[in-house]
Amino acid sequence: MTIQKLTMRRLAVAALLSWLAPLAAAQTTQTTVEGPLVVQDVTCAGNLITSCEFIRDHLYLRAGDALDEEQIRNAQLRLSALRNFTSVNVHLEKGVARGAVVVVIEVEEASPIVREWLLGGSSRTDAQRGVFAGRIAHQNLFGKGKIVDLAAVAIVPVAGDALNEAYDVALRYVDPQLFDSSRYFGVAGVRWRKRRYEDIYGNFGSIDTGQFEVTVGRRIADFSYLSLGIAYRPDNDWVAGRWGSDGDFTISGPESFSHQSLTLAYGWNTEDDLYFPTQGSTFQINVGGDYQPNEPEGRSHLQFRKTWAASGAYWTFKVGGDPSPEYRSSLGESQAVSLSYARPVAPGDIIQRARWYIEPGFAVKGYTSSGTVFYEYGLKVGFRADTTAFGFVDLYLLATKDGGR
Amino acid sequence: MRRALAFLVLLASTGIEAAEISATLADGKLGARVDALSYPVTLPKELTSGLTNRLYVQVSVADANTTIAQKVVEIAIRYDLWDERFSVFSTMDGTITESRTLASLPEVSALLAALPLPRLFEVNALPAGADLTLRVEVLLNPIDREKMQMIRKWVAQNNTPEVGGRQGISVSNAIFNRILEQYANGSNVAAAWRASVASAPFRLDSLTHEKR
Repeated sequence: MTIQKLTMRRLAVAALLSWLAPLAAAQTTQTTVEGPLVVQDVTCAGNLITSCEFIRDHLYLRAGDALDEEQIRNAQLRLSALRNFTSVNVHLEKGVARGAVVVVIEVEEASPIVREWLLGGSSRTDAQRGVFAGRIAHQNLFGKGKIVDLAAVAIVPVAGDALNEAYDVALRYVDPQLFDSSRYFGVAGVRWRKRRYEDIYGNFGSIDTGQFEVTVGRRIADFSYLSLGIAYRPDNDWVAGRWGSDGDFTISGPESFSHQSLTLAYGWNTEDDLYFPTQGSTFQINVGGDYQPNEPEGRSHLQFRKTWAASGAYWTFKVGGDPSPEYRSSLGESQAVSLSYARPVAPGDIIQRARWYIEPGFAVKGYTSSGTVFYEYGLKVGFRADTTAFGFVDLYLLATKDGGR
Repeated sequence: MRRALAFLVLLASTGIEAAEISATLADGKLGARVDALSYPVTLPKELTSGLTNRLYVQVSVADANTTIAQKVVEIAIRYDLWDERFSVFSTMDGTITESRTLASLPEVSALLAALPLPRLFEVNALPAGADLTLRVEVLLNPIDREKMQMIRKWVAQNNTPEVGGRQGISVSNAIFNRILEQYANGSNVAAAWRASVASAPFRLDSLTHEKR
């Protein structure tokens, strides 16, 4: 209580001084000296699905406080950073007495529906294919921030001596605040995946299976999390053959691939944005499990992404492709290790924000029949945009070369 | 050809501005006036919000080779909800240079439409016979790098959702992103609205002294 009083007194004095200082310096002018304004109330406007309490929580001013414009501008920035709103404005209205003001926070709420589209062409390891993916999600189910998410990915072979074909559909329900806890999150989902591949060295694989999955996670400290997931496949049609480093060829089938799998994941996420990061990093390491097919190529068990700004561009170093931290999911095709150079594109009426990027990369794919490492290196060029009409759009071309030939 | 290309790059980077700069001369000092800046359409509403709106104006004078001098002028405008009039303070490099009271929004609009930036550079310190250009960059309600870092840290920390509808952060607000992009491009101050205008080359001896 004492601290609160002291803080209030400090605010009042600071506000008084900040307002009087320029006026005192300009006392030769006709400007009249006024007392500091006092907050009578904080109200909201334009919020249909968001509670005013939630909005007010971002402004560290309460009724009776001296008006601190700095705090108001900070709150406006904090609210602007939320995906809940497309615009945030603050204005003052006259209170019951001179010097008393009502702070009105006026918001325009964003649609809770998120759409994401990916259209790519890639030529990798002697297989040319088209990559099509889409995702549609409602991010504020029941007005409580729950998420339902439907995503589909198709890799359609176009030409080439090798084969790489995949179809994946996933429906997920996400509770970012499991049991109303700010620490726990949960994901329940069902997915179906069909994939066939065969490279020119004879490595091959095919899978056709449905899967139910449940994941529970806990956030640790400010940025980290730990999660445990279980997947169950009632019908498991899977076979793969691979050359090893010793030159032996191993074929494995459903008997070596159980109907259940457990995945333990640890990660952190300090990025400021999943789609257009300007700084920060994500890291995730998975132990157990088998495949996580959000990406056309399947997800790596180790994922790291770090972004920084330099020379008017964004640089991103990636290991294991684009991240899907905590309960979020992203679509994308990357090489195992890549460095991306991205430049922002000026926004307009259709494009809210966008970047074009160039991404050289490298990946180890396996072994050849002689037991030597089979790797690829290549270049991806693309354009990613957040559009008013279609949501997120990612267009790219990726071409790689077999490093051994 | 190179100048035309540079002009096109300038247009592309700042948005097409119909604004013009005129060089002014008063009390032995070079100044500027910026006419017809395309302010954001929301500006009238912001000006009458009761909050202080700040125009941060960075003016530089350059010859053909280099920037000779630079000044920062800040114009603070605040609307009094009870008296229904505007207080306007101009400061240069932190010192108040002018203050005035305007009775109505049209008066403020008229002031901003022909934005006066008088007495910025000592004429004696500028090369007399050289072709000079003035470049003005105007930012509305700028946010300094330190504050932006604080907000970014808050954004990263609040990636974790809380009970009650906080859905996790994704910086989807176009205005916020515009600010982030400006910092990524190396700016020290950024704003949701900013405009850059450059004058045509002029010589000091071609300017006429203005009366106070």
